[in-house]
Amino acid sequence: MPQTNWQIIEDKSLADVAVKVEGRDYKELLENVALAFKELMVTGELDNLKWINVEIEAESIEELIMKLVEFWILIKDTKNRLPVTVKIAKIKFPFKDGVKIKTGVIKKDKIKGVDIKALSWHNLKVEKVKGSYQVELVFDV
Amino acid sequence: MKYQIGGFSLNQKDEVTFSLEVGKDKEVLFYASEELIKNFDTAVFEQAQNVALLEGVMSPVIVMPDAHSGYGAPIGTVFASDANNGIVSPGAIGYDINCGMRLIRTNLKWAEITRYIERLVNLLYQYVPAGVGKKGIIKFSKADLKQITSKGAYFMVQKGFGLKEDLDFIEDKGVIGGGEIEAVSETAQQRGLVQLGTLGSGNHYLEIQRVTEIIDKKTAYEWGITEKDQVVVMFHCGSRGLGHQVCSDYVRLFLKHNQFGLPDKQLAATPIKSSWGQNYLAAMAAAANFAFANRQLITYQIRRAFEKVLGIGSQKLGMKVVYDVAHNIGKFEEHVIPGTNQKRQLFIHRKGATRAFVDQPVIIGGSMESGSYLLKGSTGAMQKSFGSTCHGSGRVMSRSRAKKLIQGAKLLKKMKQKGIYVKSASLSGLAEEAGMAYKDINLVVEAVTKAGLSTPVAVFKPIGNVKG
Repeated sequence: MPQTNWQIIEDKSLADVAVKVEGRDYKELLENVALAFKELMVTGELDNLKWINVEIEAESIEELIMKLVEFWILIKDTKNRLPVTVKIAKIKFPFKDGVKIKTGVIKKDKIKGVDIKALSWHNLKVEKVKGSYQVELVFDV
Repeated sequence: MKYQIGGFSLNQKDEVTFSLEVGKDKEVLFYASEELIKNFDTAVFEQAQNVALLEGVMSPVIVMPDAHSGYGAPIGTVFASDANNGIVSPGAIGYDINCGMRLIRTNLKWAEITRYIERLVNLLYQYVPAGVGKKGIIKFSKADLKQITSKGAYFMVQKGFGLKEDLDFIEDKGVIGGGEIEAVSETAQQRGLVQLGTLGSGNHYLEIQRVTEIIDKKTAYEWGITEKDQVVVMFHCGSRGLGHQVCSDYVRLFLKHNQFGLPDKQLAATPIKSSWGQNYLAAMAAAANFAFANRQLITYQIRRAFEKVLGIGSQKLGMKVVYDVAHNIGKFEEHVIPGTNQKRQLFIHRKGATRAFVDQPVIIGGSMESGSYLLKGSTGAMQKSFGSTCHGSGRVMSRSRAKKLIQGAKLLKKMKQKGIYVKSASLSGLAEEAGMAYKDINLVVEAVTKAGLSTPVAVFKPIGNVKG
């Protein structure tokens, strides 16, 4: 299980939702991005997880995050499912060789929170601070 | 007079005009009262400055009194670039392409529908699905989508979802030329196809309102707003997932082929005449047409709901479109550059700002507690703001703070006590949209009136609300 490490940035992008996510490595960073995505949209216990496999090519960690979130939004909008967690066996730079990600999804009728419609590029930069990777995400909701 | 706000030095030009110099030859003009501008969140100034710094953006950049921080450009921004040699920035038009407002009038009086309000709102909630990820009731094919993205509201009228005369009261008659499905990714098409006829979530809403004040009687009468307590329907929505995906796709593409020094990646831009720029314009027009078609389909569903509950035909109820305006859009228009006599062909970016051509109806949606306005465009807008005015009341509080301070259930009860019946898909979503999260709409309208950008025609208060 990833270490839960994300928080809402108060009073930023007033009409949307800005969050700060951390992870000890890229794998944990992506797991925590998934956690933020889930906890913004769903409350309560999750059950009956189904898994969807995806392989994403990217030129940078920022592009990998962007493409992964866009994939989750596509599932949410078209498949009657909501992505809530990820499993990543290994993640190796460069990502253009493809990163294999398993996304856990639940039925969409469990959605209670905000609707994430897009991830913006505003301030989207993964930085290493005191040994951990940090990124600020501004979701359009 | 000089003002220091959040580290930015502003020069007050008159009661409602503040100027921020950017570099050697650009400025941002803020049309707002002292009271409003002092309460702008600091990021508005930073983001507006970033827009002005973008290569190809002409001076001045305009910021409206309802502005608040977003990403890339603040919500409430208007700027121009040259129609031939300029740039286009998808992020500065916004994710929800052709997010806009539509106002429908009726010949009903408030007293006549009071006992039907709950049934009306409940049926509207059923006919116009709202909330996270809801799908439309009327299904469309991929072949339909191709036509929707090129014909806009006209397609819906052709299919029987509206009256031909509705088109006369929509910005650009409900269709923007050049919309091409080929410029829209498969992902965007998939997201949009299932969402036609839905309201969405966030700040999208559908309200039954009553006229509480008529300020410009002559104009109001011409537009079919004839007396106090007349019932109208106002709603706010856009191009749903299709528009969001178009914006995401082209921001990523423009970033990949970026030729400019970008102050913010969300402002990724490309020369307007480049093939990428032309492709974006075709996709943006397609998304804008999708939004016009969506609002037309919702209008059809609103008419059906009124007919079913009241047992009277919508024609007999006088349910006519007053107007439909976009407030996230890019347009080729001819304007005078503010502060000069120079007229030029321009590409205008409006993000959270409404076109306000002379005598054009402008619909300004307020918070669900405060009410809304109908304005009229004026010559001042043509001289000072590229034919634009504000779009709403504008947030003063983040969604997360609003949720901490306000309980959705309590707000629902309070609204009921005030005579506003609300049906919401989410109580936390309701809390985010509480009146205290927004600026005072009266101050916003007063500012655009004093600045000469538009004039008030009528005021409406909600009596029923469908909230995503």
